[in-house]
Amino acid sequence: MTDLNAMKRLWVHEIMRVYYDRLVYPNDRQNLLGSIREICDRQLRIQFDELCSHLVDEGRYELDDFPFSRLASVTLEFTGATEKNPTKALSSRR
Amino acid sequence: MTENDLRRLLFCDFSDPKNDDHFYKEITDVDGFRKVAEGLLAKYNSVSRKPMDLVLFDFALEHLCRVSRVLKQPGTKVQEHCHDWGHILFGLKNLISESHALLVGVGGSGRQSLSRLAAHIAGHDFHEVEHLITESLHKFYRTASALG
Repeated sequence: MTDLNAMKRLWVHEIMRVYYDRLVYPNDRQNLLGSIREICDRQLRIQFDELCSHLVDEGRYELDDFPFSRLASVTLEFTGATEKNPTKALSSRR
Repeated sequence: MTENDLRRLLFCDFSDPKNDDHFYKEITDVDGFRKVAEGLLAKYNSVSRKPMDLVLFDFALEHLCRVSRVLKQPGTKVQEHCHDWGHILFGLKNLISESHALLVGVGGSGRQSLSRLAAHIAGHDFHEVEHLITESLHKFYRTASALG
């Protein structure tokens, strides 16, 4: 452990693994991040953005793959298409 | 500081191949860590009957660290007493330990491969549980008792 801020980052990381990873809805995740931010400012006496500033990379463009996988499953459900019958439309509700 | 940025906050205990310390440390250089992980993958492929052709993009590294972290969690007393059988009782540990992970993803997304790699890094054997879970359990207990 090199310094106190490293310990604080470890705290944030463990919360992410124990709580954040188990959450499904974006709302819940946002709420959790809000709580982390608030507690970090109040109890750990450091601005959250400052603590994790080295993680921010302005020039990097990332494709988040969560939307893509959800998009694929929603499309299939909507049209009723399967591998064997890719053009079949959903005639009745499952 | 977005949620995506926070995904780059990673910790693991195998980030330094030369230093055999296994301290749980923050990964500050992701690209360097990728090289380390690729080296570990190459080691796995050299000894495995089923080598894996994996691309370790950022998302894969995240999950590798997550699974490795879960594997480090302590089990119940039974697991602790059976330290030498550690790798054989790994499956048993996951049945009765305090920790487990459920990986959800589309086919081909690398869930099994990353778990295999994480198990290899932790020094555990990897056994697939077939559809008939009771049979796998029987086989498992027989193996464990044979070594006892």
